[in-house]
Amino acid sequence: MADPTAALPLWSVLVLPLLLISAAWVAVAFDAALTARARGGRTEVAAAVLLPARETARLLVGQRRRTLAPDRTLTTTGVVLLPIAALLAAAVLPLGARPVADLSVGVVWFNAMEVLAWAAVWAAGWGANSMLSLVGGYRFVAQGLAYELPHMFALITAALAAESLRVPDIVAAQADLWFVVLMPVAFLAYLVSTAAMAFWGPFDAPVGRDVAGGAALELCGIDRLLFVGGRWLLLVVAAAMAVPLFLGGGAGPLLPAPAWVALKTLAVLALLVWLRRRLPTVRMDRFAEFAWVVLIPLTIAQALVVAIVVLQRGGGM
Amino acid sequence: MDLTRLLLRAGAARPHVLLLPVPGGTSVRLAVEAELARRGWPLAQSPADADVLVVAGRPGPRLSEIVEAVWHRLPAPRARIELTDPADVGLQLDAAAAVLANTARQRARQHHDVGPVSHHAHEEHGEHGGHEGHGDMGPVAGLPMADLGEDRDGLTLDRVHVPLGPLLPDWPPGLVVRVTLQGDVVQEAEAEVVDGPAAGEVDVWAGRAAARELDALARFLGVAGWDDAADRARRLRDDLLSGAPDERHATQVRTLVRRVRRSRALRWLLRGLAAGDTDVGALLERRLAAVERAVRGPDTPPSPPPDLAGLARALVGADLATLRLIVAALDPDTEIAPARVPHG
Repeated sequence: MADPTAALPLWSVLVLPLLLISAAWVAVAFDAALTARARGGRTEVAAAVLLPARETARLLVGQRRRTLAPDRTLTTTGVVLLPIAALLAAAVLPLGARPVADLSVGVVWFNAMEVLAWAAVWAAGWGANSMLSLVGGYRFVAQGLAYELPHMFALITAALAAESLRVPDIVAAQADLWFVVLMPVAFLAYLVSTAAMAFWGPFDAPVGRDVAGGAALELCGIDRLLFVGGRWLLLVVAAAMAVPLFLGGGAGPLLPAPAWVALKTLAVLALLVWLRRRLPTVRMDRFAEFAWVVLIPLTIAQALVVAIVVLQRGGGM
Repeated sequence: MDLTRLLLRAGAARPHVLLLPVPGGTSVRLAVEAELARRGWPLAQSPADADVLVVAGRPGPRLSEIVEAVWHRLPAPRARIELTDPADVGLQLDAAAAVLANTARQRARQHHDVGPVSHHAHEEHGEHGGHEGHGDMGPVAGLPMADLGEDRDGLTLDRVHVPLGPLLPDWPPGLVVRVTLQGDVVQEAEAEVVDGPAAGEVDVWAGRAAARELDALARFLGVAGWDDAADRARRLRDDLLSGAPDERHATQVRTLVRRVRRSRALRWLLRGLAAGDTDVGALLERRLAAVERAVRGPDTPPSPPPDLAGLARALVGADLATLRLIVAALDPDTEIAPARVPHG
C-alpha cells in the first residue's frame, strides 16, 4: 500500500477543479434559494439549482464591452488571476487524507495564493478606468490591511500546534482534539478573515451596492464570468481550508474521509452564505479599527496560549 | 448553430434588469420591482451587468440623453423597454425576454455599435467621473486630468469632479449630485433633479405614507448592504400597496423596525458618521419613527422631505460611502423638488 500521506496521483489535478466547481454550484444555489425566500417570490428548488447554469450561459454569450481608455492588460490579469489563485490555493487541500500537492510548506503556499486575490481585485478595479470601479479596487486594498494579519496569525497558530507547515500533518495532529476546541479564537478569526479575503458579505464593500458593483462594475461577458466565478471558488477554497486546519480534516465516524471533508466544507460554506444576508456591509474604516484593536491582539494571545500548550506537552526543540 | 441559440435562451430565462426610474414614474417603478420579485429576476447594479434596460416613466429631454448613453453601455444581448403604465409591466417584460432569446435579432445588433463608448456617453451617470474639472493639464484619451485645490488643512491636493446619479442602485429618481472630491472626501457638493416631473403630476404616495416610508427604509438598508432587512422592507411595502393594511401587516412592520433598531452591527457601523449638523444614526432613527407613525394611522401627516440645499450641505465633509448613506437616509423627494441648488 502506498504511503497514505503522500500526494494524490497526477489525475487528481483534473478532478480538483470539478470538485471546487461542484461545491461552488451548491453554494450559489443555496444563496439563490435564500434570496428568493427573502424576496417572497417563487422559491422553486429547480430554479435555484439551474441558476448557475443560466448565469454561465448568459455571460458566455455576453458581449465584452470596452470602457473609454481602459487598461485591458490589467483588467484581464485581474480577472484571470482570481480563479487561478483559488485553484492553486486548493492544491494543498487534503481531499480525504491526501492533497493534490503535498508541500512541506502547505500553509504558506495556501496563504501566498490567497494574497494573489488582493492584486487581482485591485487590477480589475483599476483597469476599467471608471471612478466607482477604482474605488472598489482600492477598498479591497484597504480591506487587505485589516484582514491579512489576523488571517496569518490564525493560520500559523494551527501550524504551531501541529509543529508543521504541512497540511496533512496538521490534520494528523488533531487525532485527539480538533483545533476548533483547542483554539476557538483562531477559528473565529479565520472565518472572519477568510470571508474578507473572498470579499464576501459582510465584507463585500469592494463590490458593494453603494458603488454599483465596485471592482466588478464594468465587467461583462466572459470577464464577469471569470471574476464572479473566481470569487465563488475563492470562497469555497477558504471554507474548505477550515476543515483540515480546525475541524479535524476527514475524521468522523462511519463515512469515509472524503465524505467527511465534503460535508464539513459544505457546512462551513453554508454558514458563510447564510451570514452574508444577515449582516450589513462593514465599512472599511470600522473593520480596520476592529482588526487592529481587537482581532490582532486576540489572535496573538491565542498563539501564545497554544505555544504554552505545545511546550507543556513536551513539543518543540 | 445552435449552441448560441441554446445559450441565449438559457440566459433569457432569468435576465438581469437595469431599472432607471424617472421622476414622476414611481408607480411604474413600484410595479416593476414587485413583478421582478415575483419572477425572481435580479436587478442589475450597473449597465455592464444588465440584459434589459427598463425606463420607468416618461423621460424629459435631458434624461432621454442619459437613457441613450446608458443603453449604449449595455452589452449584447440586450433589450430595452420604456414603461409609462404600471399595467403593462408583465407583458413588456415578457416581450423583452423574447427579444433577448431571439438569435437573429441579437446577431444583427451585435454587428453595429461595437467599440468604446464616446466621451459624451459617459457624462451624467455616476459610474464615470472626473470629466468636468478642467485643470491646466491637457486631456488624456479625451478625459481631463484631476486639477489641484486647497484641502481643509491648507494642503494643495488633487481634486476630481464627479457627478453621481441618476443611475445608481437605491438612488432617488433623477437626482444628480455633483461633488468635488479630494481623496474620497467631499469638498463641495451641488444637488439637482434632472427633468423633474411636470406640475400637476399625481402623488402616488398620497394616503400611503407607510409604504412611502418603507420604500425609503428599503433603500437605506440596501445601501448599507443589509440584504435580508432590505428585502423584508420591500416585501412589506409591496404587501401594503397591493392590499388594505391590516393588523398583521402592522405587526410585521413593527417587528422589522425593532430588528433594525436593535441591530448592534448597524449601530456600530453608523456610529459617529456626521451628516451636516446631525448624524446618520439619528437620521435612521427619524426614518424608523416615521415608519412607526405611518403604520399607526393614515391620519398622521408625513414628515416633510429635506430640500436639495439641505442635502448638499449635509454631504460636505463626508466620504463616498457615507455620502451614499446620507442621501438614502435623507431620501429627498425628487418628484416635488425644485431645480438646482449649489452649496460649497
